[in-house]
Amino acid sequence: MNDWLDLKNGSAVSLATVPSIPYDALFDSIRERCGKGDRPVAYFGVAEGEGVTLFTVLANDGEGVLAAAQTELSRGQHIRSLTPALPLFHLFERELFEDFGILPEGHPWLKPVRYAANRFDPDAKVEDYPFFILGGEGVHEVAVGPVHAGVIEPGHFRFMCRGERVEHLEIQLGYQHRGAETLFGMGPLSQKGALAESICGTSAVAHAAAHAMIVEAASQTRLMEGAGIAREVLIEIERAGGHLATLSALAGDVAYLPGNSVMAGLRTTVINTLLELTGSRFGHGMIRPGGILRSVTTQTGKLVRERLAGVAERLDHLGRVMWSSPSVLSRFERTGTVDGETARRTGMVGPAGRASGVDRDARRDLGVPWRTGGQRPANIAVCLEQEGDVLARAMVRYRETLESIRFVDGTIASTDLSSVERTSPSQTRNMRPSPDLFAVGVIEGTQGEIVHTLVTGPEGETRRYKIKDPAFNNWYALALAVRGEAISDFPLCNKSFDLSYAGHDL
Amino acid sequence: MFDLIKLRREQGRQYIKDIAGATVSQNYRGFPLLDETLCNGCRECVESCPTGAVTLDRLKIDMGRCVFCGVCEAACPTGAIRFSNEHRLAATSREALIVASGSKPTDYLATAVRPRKELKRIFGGSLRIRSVSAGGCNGCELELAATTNVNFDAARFGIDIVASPRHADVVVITGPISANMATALEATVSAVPAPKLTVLMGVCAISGGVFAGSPALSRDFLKNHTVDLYVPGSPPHPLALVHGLLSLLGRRGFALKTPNTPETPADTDG
Repeated sequence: MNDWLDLKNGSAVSLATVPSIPYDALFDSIRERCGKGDRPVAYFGVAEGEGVTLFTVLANDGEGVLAAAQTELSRGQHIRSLTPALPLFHLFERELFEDFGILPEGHPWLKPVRYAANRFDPDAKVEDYPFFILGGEGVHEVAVGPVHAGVIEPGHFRFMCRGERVEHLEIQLGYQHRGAETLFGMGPLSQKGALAESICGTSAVAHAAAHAMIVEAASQTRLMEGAGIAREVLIEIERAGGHLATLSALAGDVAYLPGNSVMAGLRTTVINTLLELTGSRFGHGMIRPGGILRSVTTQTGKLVRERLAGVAERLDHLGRVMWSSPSVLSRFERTGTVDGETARRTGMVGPAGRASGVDRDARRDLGVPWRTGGQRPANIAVCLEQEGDVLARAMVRYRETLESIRFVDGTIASTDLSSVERTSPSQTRNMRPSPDLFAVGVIEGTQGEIVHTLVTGPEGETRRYKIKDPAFNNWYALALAVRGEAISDFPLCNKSFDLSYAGHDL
Repeated sequence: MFDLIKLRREQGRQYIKDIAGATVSQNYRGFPLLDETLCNGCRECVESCPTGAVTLDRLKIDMGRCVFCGVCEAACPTGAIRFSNEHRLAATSREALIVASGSKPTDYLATAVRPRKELKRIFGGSLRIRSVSAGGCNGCELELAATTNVNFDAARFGIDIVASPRHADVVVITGPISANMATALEATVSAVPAPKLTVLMGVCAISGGVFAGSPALSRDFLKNHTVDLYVPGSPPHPLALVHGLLSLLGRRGFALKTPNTPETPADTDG
């Protein structure tokens, strides 16, 4: 069936051109397309009184194309659930239910997503939530969180165990919900760069890039290629720093202190290059709609290359020792396995998905609008593993770190970033999204694909700004990964996914 | 084993020796240097600020609202707003965070943290931190965790992070305090035995930051609890937290230090 609208990543179209299909036909069409390998990157409602327009965007990674369709529903309506046949819709449908009371009949577990401030059922409280209970001899329940033992974000984990073995884990999130999407809708969208940087701290740069891309598309502003390449450099440095933090923590979890200490130190060096480039260790305040806010001098570029080359060398030295350490391997190997079939069926993205053989990376698959001709980014290798265990998730990150450093080094060497003209805050301020528009942008952040989607109204005002962090795709996979594992391996499994709670809760 | 020894030797010494006097990169956006005599009233700064931190009745920046994005500096045509690399921004009062035109980092450092004698006696040798992320994006959390890494090594001052609130001396709160975390935050803080301190780390904790005014927040906690230290930033530099805590405790060498003015040579440690 070809009655969807095909669009490129980072583009905006008139709402009227997004085909409106009755839900039953949409249901069949989604089943057919996803049966062939398409997958949802956006599936959310926009309310108008009692009516809710459901927008669906499917990605065809092979062709590098996004397809959009809309359908009219109403608050509280019952619809047929896609989840039984397509489990990767499970959380999207739960979100639709939480937001608007639209009930997907046949959904196996309509669990709250984030207890959003503007949820359909304002009386639902996380304290009242009935966790899945396992009966039987010797079964005991372990509750962890929301406040956790370490310096990490809060979430609740409810384990059903027999002895040390985890039979079932149920994760309940929502503690980090700050109402981010609502805030995007309040005031001029082009001014929301700092808000985008606060969605998820470890992907601040990537979220800012997605937001900027949306505003550029929606205001018909063409981003200069040089500015886009500068953004790619920042995104890759962020990725390297984020992965080093994850790997450092993973090593700490198995008491491998050389790995823990060395990589924490290497993270410092990496994010200090972001500091040199942007004035912030997290790359804040650099990427804004229209371009980048600061110049990249030749001198800074040279310094960044030197520092990162040192990091790559030291990381390689550590890797030789760490990846041959019996204590590390015995803890990482065959722990927390998610097989490829499960990873695909649940819609996993990012390094955790790639560790289970899901060959998916938005940098390669979907392209970006600032490359001439909409070409895919050159020269970045996608790192894949097949085992889907903690070791695989660690190895993917380790290799991606080295690959990101290689990309940054090569890009700075071959591109004159000092010639990239800065944009100005007043330029950004004057970028106004056009009326009645639909725009979608996908960026491969540190933990996977980030999707921002915009629907504007008749004055160009924001009707809905929808954010999907990769945490949205992957949290469920963690719950599956620990089944059959010792509960003492939970922290290791959790860190091997390193998912953002704030990115999920918004 | 010999590979491990070789690896260890390659690391050398990475800890910053003089934490109190450590400087950060010249490019770091720290304490704002405001000069209202240069201001031409164009209001570009106010229009650009995502949190309303910049006000222009008299030119001021409220570091408790500032996310240090630097967009105001980029927008200002006259240089009335610049950011120094002074990273030591902690203060014991909310009002101290409001920077006026002509304020110098030296003056700020001399007055912002009022040490309390009894704190040195009680916590000067050992301060255990329980972190509560109440809606934090993970930025502040990462920088808090970084205070115990090989570069900053806060543990040498007796500062360390504990898992149980029962073992804690200070609660460091990050995040704007989401409504869904309000109960857990209150419960955790109540579980910390007295004497205890409360620190707000990062702009979100101090004022809500970019989330200020969101209906998804519930900041009543702050009405019922005294705050002992405010550490501005988005996120604050790990050194800012360490310096702030040690200044609060009145540890020798941590008050009245020379600031990192733009003229100071860039002896980058952190």
